[in-house]
Amino acid sequence: MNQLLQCNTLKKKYSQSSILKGVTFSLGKGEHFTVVGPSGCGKTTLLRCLAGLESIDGGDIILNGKSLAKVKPEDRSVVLMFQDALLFPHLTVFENVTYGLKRIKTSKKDRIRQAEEMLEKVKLTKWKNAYPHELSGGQKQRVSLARALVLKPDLLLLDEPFSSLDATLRESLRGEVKELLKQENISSLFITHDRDEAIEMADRLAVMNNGEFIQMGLPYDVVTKPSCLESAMIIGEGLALDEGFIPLHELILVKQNETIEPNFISIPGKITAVTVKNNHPYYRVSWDKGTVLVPSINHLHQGEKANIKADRRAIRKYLQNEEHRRKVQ
Amino acid sequence: MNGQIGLLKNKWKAGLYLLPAVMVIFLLVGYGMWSAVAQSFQTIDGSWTTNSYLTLFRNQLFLDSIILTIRVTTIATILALAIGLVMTRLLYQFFKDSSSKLLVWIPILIPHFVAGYLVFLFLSQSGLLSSFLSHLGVIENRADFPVLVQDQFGLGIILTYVWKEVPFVILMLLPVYYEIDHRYSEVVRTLGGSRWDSFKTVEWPWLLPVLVETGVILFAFIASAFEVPYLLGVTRPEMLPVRAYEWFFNGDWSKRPLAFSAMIVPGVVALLLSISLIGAIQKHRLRMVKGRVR
Repeated sequence: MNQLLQCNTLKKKYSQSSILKGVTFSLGKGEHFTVVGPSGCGKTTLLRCLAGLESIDGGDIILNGKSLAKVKPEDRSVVLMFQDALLFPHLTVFENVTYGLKRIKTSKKDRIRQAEEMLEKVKLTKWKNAYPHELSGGQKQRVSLARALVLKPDLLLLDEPFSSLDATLRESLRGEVKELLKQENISSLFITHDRDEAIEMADRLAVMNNGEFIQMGLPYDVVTKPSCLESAMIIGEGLALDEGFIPLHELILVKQNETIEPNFISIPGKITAVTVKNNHPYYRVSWDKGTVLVPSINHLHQGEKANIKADRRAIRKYLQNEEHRRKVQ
Repeated sequence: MNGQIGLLKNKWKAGLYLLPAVMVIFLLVGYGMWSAVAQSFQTIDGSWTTNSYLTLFRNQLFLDSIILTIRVTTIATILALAIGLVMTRLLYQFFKDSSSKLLVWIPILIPHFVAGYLVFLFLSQSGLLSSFLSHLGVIENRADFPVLVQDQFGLGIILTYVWKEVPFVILMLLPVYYEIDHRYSEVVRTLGGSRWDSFKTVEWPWLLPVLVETGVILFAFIASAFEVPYLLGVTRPEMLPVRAYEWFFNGDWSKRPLAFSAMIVPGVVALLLSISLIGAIQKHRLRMVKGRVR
């Protein structure tokens, strides 16, 4: 895969407080890269720096072999999609979609053709003369996506664009967006704090914490083999212990009085909620370092005390921090 | 049912509380308005006629006055709006601090007549600026100083109103700037738009309704104000309110209907202007309000 973007030790400070502490990564042409991390870890700042809406205090951003450090946002082939659709309320759907094309002086004929094609792709042709206030939340985000994609940017930045939508809509839109990005062959950098969304949208996944990437890799590897405790707590699907990580499929919830075999570990907890996942009951168990969703063969109830049980051999040791950090950067 | 009775009771209560204010407006302003309209359609002996209006539009003094009034009012309104807009745009971050706002509010506190007198003191040929420049040797004597007040163009009047009304424009526009979601400007930039595009697309649509309303208020106010044109205007042509005043007080009683009709004409024009302009922007405003994200 040809390299599109290279970020070298990107640094950003706000009043002496470091928000980005030397972020380094690269992105291939047509690749979909996702960054997941808790609120305030620097994800949005990273996107804003890439879009040119914030200056950088150190490092460099190279797009297609050229440094973007001193390039204005309007001159970068990078479009940012925000959490809210942010459609211009006084313009129709069609005018919103053609807005960027007009700015880059595309001829009227081409503007109309390209916008109509894009509206067709996002299934909003019949809404082209509607105003934003006449659309639903999902439709607004589709228009916002169409407005960004019609420009055919080298890089599309998505800042938790589905966070304001309901769960069902979010799930359906995720698939549609990824499909559309593939069709248009547009590289994307997607940030989210939603684990499912991160995994689904990513070709490659990075976990961000406290202004730096702490793990990067294929979504399955990152989720099942977190490299450190922080990563395990942010993205790992399973139990994050100090000594290592136990994937979810190795965990089972048992009654409090059930005998635990010697080669198994047992962590006491309390069931705070019962839910259904893949047609099976799952229990949200609160233990002294957090909560975890675990299946059980027993029929248990909310409020009941129980033990999370796992084979000791299932514990996956974390990588040494320094060694791993060098590898990530 | 109980809710409906409660609502009805509340309506009656509200009506009762508003009654004194409504009565004062209806009796004093309403009666005054009606009396002016009625007298503009009456002869001195009380018979009904449209003669005063027909005479008015054949009267050269009125035509000269109305041309001057429209010119002065339009220029002063546009300048006040433009300067107020530029100042708000540049300084709205600075104005978040309430003590700095006081600087702008000072001209609002000064009465119009005093403002006119200050302009006269500073900018007339015998004023402070001309004395200062003549002391410095920039001009040989005070008579070389350009005629800025009591001139036929109405420059002194325009300057006074611009100085007085710019803070009013700022006062109207500041809340708009604080309400604008500035993330839209970032959207414009990432879509390839310049700072100017960002102003046109993000700020202007929100500013337009307020600018139109403020413009209508300023236009109606300047066109019908008396004291500043009386102080800073020339004998001929004079602004319409001065012309009406002269017909009302200085002429014989037969000119009184002319005085009323001379003020009713711009009043009606201002009313029609406000109805049509505010009606036209209402749809735009609703679209903006409904479509905004927060």
